[in-house]
Amino acid sequence: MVRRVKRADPLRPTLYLSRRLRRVAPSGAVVALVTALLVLVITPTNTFLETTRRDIAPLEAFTVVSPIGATGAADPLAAVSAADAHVERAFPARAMWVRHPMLVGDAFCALLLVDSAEIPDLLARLHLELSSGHLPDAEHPGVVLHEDVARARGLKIGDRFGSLVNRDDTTPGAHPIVGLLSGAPRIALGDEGADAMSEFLMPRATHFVLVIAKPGEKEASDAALHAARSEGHEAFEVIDDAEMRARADKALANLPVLIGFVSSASAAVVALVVALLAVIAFQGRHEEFAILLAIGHTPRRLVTKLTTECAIVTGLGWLIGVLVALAVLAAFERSMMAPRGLVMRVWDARPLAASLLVPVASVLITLVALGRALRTLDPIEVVQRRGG
Amino acid sequence: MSEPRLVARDVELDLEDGARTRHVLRGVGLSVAAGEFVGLMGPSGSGKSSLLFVLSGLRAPTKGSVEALGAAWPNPPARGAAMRRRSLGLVLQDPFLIPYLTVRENAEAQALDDAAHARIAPLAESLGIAALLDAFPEKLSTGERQRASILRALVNDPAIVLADEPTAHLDAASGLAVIDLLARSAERAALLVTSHDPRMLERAGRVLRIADGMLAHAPGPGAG
Repeated sequence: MVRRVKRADPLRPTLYLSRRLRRVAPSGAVVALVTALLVLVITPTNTFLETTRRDIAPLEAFTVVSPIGATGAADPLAAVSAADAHVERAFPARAMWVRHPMLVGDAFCALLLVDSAEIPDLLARLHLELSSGHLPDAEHPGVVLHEDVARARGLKIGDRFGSLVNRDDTTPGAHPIVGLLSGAPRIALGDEGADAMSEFLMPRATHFVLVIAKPGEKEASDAALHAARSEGHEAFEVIDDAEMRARADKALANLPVLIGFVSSASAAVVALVVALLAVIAFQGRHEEFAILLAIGHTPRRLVTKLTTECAIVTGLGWLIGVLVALAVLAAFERSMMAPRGLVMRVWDARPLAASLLVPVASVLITLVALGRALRTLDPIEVVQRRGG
Repeated sequence: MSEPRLVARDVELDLEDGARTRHVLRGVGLSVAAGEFVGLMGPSGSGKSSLLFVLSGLRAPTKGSVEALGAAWPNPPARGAAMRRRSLGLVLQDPFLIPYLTVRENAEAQALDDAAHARIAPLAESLGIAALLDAFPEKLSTGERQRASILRALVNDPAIVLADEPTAHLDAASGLAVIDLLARSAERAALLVTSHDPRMLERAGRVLRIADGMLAHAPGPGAG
């Protein structure tokens, strides 16, 4: 009885690829380049959402109850009291927005004017730290601004921003910066009673109530606030993180259509190019496949071999393209986006998934093209062409 | 006489050549038994290679039948791949070695089981290419490449060996050596070798002549 020994198959795809690297490299390079291009083009589009999310991140720590229409037309505190079972405390605030540049147009982070005594607690809840300067108080009137926003606007401690300083600025008044904040959520905080603001700004700043839920009860608190609104308190709105995230998602809902189109079109073009390269490479291997068919290898086995070779080449090309793109994106994020206050997620599954279309489409089209070529390959014709 | 391993009965082969039909083989009948060395002679274009491709199951005859080991070759020919790999050793005018595989790997690509793998080294020894097993085809001479293709053809100890002008690119001495090796290495197989050079078929037990697609003095099936 002959003992079965596991042997390496000399027709295994990896052996061909390792010995004919130069022949298969162009296909891998095309896939790598287009994958890198796709990831590099698609990934920065997450900046719209990521920057917006960073700007609305403070709403994970508190919820805002806001009147609709003219100040005084509603009593937000009534809604707050309806949710009191889940509320730790609520206090009045006025709010404005601080403009900072987005990829296209502007993004806005909130400027909350509260009692200066509330500021240290708010910073603790938001996991923000004073990285330089002072917190606003009677001795240091002004605002503390997130350092990303300050950097994006080209502002530093001692500078002022607002419509009185810059007519293009959407924040009413003139706000001296007394400190900078560091941490993930972006916000600006000022003292509601500061002289510089009270006279001119307060009437124009919307009146809010900041609602801070008991630990672990924010969801229940928000639900109660929403319920209170739907039970006859329509004159105010509840602004929580879920609501703002939903608004941001809705605003960017059409982005996937564009991404889908770009990735599909690119994948189709690249797949055709790769299939063309595969067919050209196949022409160069006519004799190899003719003799293999002649000596008893099945077309199915040879198609599997060719498709596996294509899958390995395009898969490796995709991986290299992704790694190159991630390295470039990381450098781009550090050097170009962060200094502009733009938040870009380098590691984003969406462009990676979209770029996967490239190798998948390439393998499928190659499978069809080479499968047909192999099935119509007449080994005798090839043998006789050379042998005479 | 042993039982015939390869039998052709009244084989005809017509090939389309543009608008006209060429009658390549006409009423061919032959049989080759185990251990028999049959030579097939004929001038260029006489139908030698076409007959060999029909006998190998690579081309279906227009009429008639070909049986290998008692079974007809499947039609279409692709369906006979497994049977061809198991039972047939094919040596062509050009060795057609796979260029990115060594001599050993070319043989291993055809080997079906461990016994076949174990056969590679001694067979290479008898073919005089043991030292070249790890060489790539581009480093071999024409004669060495042909020996390597014989190694590949014989690795599964096939019941039938068909060789189409295996000495065409060799000088007379090398050609005779190759034929001798083929005959000795495949002594238990049914061996059919085509050549246009009568010297190459001197060792054959029988020599058939083919002209215009017809065998001259061709014995009938089973006649040996």
